[in-house]
Amino acid sequence: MAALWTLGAVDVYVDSLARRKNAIWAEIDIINATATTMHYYGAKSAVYRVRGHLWGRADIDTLEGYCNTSTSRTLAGPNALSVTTKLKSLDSTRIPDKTDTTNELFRVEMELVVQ
Amino acid sequence: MSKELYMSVTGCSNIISINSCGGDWQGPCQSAVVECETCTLDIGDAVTVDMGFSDDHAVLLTGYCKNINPKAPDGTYQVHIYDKLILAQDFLIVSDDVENPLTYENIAAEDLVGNVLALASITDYAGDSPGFTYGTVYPVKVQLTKSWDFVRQICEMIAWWCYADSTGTVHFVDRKPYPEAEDVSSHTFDTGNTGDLILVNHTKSDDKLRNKVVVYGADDIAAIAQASAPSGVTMPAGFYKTAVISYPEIIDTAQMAQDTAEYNLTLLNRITETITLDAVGDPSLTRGQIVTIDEPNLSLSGDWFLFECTHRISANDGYRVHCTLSK
Repeated sequence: MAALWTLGAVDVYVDSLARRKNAIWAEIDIINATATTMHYYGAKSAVYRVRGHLWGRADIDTLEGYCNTSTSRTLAGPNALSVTTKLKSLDSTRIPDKTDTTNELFRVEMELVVQ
Repeated sequence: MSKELYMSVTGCSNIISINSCGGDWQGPCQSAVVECETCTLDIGDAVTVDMGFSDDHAVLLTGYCKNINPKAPDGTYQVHIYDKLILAQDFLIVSDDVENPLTYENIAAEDLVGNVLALASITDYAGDSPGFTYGTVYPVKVQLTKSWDFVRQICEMIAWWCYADSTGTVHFVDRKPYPEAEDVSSHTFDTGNTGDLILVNHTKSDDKLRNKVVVYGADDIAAIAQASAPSGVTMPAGFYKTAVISYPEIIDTAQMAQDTAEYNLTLLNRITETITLDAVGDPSLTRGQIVTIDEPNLSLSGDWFLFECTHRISANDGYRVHCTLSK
């Protein structure tokens, strides 16, 4: 069931939050060896993939506008979730809705890089 | 096996990579290219480059920042660092009075090199004695030459080596670019699960072979040293590949000319045999060392001279060294 979250000033009804965190390992293969030598370089920032819905042309425009600057945005939600992120990508699809003729409904999928 | 990478460079933070940290025997300078997110260095600042693994790292280069290149749009810096011999490369010796150039008389080779380096503000110097004295007949004139170019001439005459070590001390030593009987190997490049060899290439040629050396000095002084080609090289009878050394400002005795010819014949009359290799990084490796190789696929073994050694760390490749070995 969707819950109301916010990204910056935009309300988003979130269906799911997927998290990804990658370590950075260089792989080195030695001649005639039977195992790979690994060098640890560090780690990438955690990436949140948020799927949900939002209402209104103004909100989707605001969200797209977040991609035009490097400003950090706070993702806030239930259970005291509050994470500073950069909006890396936004995919949105308008969903036709006969019951609400005054607003537009969008399905959104966002990739956020945690700072 | 896994290890954690380590990079630390004076004035640079959030270091992304260190490339080409090192140099070759002919040098003169070792250098490094550092890519970083933040740089507080100015041109000419003293810098040390420390790299390796978190549990095994070392200062590989002590020198000066010579070039800072901010890059857009990624907001990073590329910083070029050279060891202390860059001062000798940059310093042109010019007398205020063209009729009275700087001269030296009856001066030992190690003192002559030390004095010329000191002109370029290099005073952290340790010179061995080759037993040569210059300026015994005519004063040695040092004029309109870079400090390094003059030192290189002295090195070339007696087949010695001048280099800056990782701490910045400049040395003047008898080190030939091939293993000699008394040498002790400091590292073994090996294959297999305990090895470190990633890539190996072996080349033999007569590119640098010279079996005749002609030396010219002052007052029509000349000397020749020649020999037949070394074992493994066939040349037509009477055929010579010749090197010429001409230093009329420095060579002022027949004996000095003959010694120069013979030293250089020993240095040059040999097959150009090299191994180039990539191996897992090791901060103890540096040019000028004797190393052993054990690579069964190409039947490579024995002791070799580490002619070139460059270290690099990056996210994609980890810590690797690129080496050229010579015999």
